[in-house]
Amino acid sequence: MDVNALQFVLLVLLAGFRAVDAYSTQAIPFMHALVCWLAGIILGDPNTGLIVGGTIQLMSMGAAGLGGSSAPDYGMAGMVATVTACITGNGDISVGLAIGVVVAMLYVQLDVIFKIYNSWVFKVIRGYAVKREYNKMLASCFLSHLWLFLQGALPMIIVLAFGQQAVEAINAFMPQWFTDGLSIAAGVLPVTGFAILLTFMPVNKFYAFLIAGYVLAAYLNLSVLPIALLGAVVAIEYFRNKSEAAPVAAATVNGGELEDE
Amino acid sequence: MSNFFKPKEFKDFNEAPAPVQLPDGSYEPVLTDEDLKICSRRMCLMDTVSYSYATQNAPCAMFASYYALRKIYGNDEDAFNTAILNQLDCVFNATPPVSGLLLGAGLAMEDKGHLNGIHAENDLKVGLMGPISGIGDVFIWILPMTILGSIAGYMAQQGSPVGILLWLAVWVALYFWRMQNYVQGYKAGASVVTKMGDKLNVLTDAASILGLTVVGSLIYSSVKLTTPLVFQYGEISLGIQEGVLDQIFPNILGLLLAVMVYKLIKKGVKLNWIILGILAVSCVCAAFGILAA
Repeated sequence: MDVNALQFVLLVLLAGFRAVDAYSTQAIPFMHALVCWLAGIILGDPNTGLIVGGTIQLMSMGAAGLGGSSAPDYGMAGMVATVTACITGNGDISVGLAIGVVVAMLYVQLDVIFKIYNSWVFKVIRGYAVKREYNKMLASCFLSHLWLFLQGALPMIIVLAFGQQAVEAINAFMPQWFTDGLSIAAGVLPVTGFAILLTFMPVNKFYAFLIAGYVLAAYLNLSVLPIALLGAVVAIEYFRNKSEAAPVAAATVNGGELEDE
Repeated sequence: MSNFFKPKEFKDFNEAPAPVQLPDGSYEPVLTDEDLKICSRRMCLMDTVSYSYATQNAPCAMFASYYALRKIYGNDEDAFNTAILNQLDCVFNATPPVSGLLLGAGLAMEDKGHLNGIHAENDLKVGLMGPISGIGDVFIWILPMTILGSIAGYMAQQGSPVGILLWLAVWVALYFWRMQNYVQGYKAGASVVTKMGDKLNVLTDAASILGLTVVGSLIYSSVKLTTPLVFQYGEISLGIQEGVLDQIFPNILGLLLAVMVYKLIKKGVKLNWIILGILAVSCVCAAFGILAA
């Protein structure tokens, strides 16, 4: 399908806003499924947006870049994947996903450059503070936002301009095993999100609940919402027992397994 | 909206009143709830946007508290300049939605002690930004990501936006809270984090139970890996997936992969290498027909 001018502008604005929002306003941080859904709505194909976004969301879980660390930019991956999947329009999301993931991995390098750029912004801000030019000092704080907007918007312009040709070229030249491989990878890549998430959680202490969740899904075929509610039942009772019965015992639980990496 | 990010009655240095010093050397606190809410809202514009290798997010803290500091120091421009430079030079980085608690507590010290209070304020900020981020990361990022994020992601994969809207609703509710969190930090003062300690550990554990249950179910339903291989022995043919693997354990290949990736990350293997490895192994296995999508 062709992208019209309005769709082009809206997608570029969405990509720019998402990049700014992730660091600053945090109105929709890490909500990749939402952003992909919106991108899908703009392109008139919300369903593809939801499916791509859901996959990216599950992949990204845990990779929240805590403590200033740099994580692959899954938001960028999601938008690139949604747009390429929608504009090629053949219902196959795996090539779009693979391109998106590769972009996210390259893109993370920009994160380091952004933080170095911010060191320069800091010098500007401090310079105005020393000179007591406070309005300029406050205004130059937004230099960081400007960079982020461009960092999000420019790749989107490139993808919109060349995405379709790139995907067609890949489809034309790539052998069957490559596209099959991408489909397999698209199916299993959410595993990375769960694995990182688990490293943040007290797995050794509560691994039994992992088994419970797996069994509820695999053998009882429950969907995720009822399973979450059953988990909540246990969590509520646990909290009630522990916080009423033994405040002393609770104090010894120092949460050491929840290290912030 | 004129007083949303900036106080309505903002006075320049030459019009602002002089700070009132009390007999014991401290100052009359001047900040109102409205001033502190402005700080919170200004922080929502910045959060971690200034993160640099210089003083991390210190410019964000300065930007948020700018008008509060102007009010504290009134007509004393020299003292204000010292305070602004102190904000810029004091390293700061905390989980954005809860950072206002800490910065609000710091402002309470500065409101009372002026320049005599800024050393204690800096100590408080640097000393508690780690612990408060530990709590904030778990309750603001990791748990919503696990529970709401995975529900949203899973339902979206099935073509339903309900999970996304649920997550958004919870986040919006939290956003209303954080748009005034300096007020709570200011009122609670330095004891805010230490007091919360014990109960939060139990709450973290309870929430972890919920999170792990959800992750356990998603490892089954979201990691799809099957083999099309068929075992041939004379007349007998047996599909490996449905005949053997599914009999042992449903989706056992996905489960084994999850365990393997978890162990690799625990060993410190970089995520990018793992993703590349998965892409490469998928292609090789597709070429030889060992795995199928």
